[in-house]
Amino acid sequence: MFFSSTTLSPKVHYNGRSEDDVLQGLPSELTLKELIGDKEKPLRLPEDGILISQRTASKLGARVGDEVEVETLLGLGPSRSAVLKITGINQQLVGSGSYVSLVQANRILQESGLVSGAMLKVDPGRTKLLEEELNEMTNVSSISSLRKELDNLNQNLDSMIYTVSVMIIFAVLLGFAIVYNSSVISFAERKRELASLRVLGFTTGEVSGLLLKETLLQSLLGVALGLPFGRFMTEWYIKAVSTDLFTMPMVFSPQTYLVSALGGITFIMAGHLIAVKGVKKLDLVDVLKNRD
Amino acid sequence: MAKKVLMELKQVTRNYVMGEVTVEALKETSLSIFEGELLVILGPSGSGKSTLLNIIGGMDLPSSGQVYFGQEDLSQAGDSKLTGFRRYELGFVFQLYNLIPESAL
Repeated sequence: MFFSSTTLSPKVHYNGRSEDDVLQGLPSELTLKELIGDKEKPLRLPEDGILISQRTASKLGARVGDEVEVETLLGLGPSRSAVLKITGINQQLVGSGSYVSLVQANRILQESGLVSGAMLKVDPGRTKLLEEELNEMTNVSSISSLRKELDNLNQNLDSMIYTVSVMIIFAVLLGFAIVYNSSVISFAERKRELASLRVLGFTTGEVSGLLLKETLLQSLLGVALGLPFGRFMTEWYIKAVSTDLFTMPMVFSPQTYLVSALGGITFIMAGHLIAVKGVKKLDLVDVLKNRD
Repeated sequence: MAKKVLMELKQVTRNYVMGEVTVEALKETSLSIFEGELLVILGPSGSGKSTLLNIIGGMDLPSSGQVYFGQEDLSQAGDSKLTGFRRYELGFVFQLYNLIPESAL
């Protein structure tokens, strides 16, 4: 089973902005490839329009229904351009690109029946043999295998797990250090007032309770502000690390918010326990001495 | 009619250990405070007035001797008992106001 395709490297213009993209012309009836849109819904390849890549669409600020100008940058001859209507946004995560029908690609190039690539479904046992044969063909410029690309990606992701783990460890350490530090400073600043309460007959539990109320108020406010800010940071990070080769999806579930909130509250409570320990050790005699 | 003894200190000594030096702030002091009595403690600087008041106020414990409030021996009391004593039996005016900015206290 196979189908032919044409790949172009055009500049896409919209509203005064331009972006380099990879445009692939595919047959209308797709059998070996699935194009995915928003919320993982399959996309249908249009006869006339363009399925623009998510990355290009967001860089240009273009949406479904807008018209973009596709300008081919050919090595030889004049450049050719066509105005195409966006019929969908392609959310492909690996090897992101834009798609048009094979007929449309030929129309842009002012050619007919031009094909620059083929996608083959091969018996896994014969892959090696086929690759060897294709390698010997002088007109074949490159061969890529879905399996190999997947393996490479998985290898990259494996090494990424270590990077992410290190980042998580540092985030945890930093988070705890900040909370611990602010608890210690806040306690040291208020030592005299807290000891005064103890002199007046407040129990350690009551003084700690006062601190707990303040801590909870601060932490709830912090968590409420931190959750949307964390989401914003993640969006920004995903955009920063997205490349032409792959994009990472941003997956947020209620569990994500829950774990983040619980993590934050745990650190804050650990900081509070340090303050409680300090309340128990307060020197009541010292508080009665003259203030400097 | 004989006045009721409210608080009684018996042979109270309070030592502060500062490194290798032991400072004897109070030495075998005995004192009885009667109900309704107005008591003024006078003395030169370093004579142990503050130490005595800290022990009477339930904020410090003697190194030796007994402090009785009624029948209760405060010199053997734990933190919760001393807290209760300060809370329900004692009024305290700080030398400096020790006001808490965030509270009306």
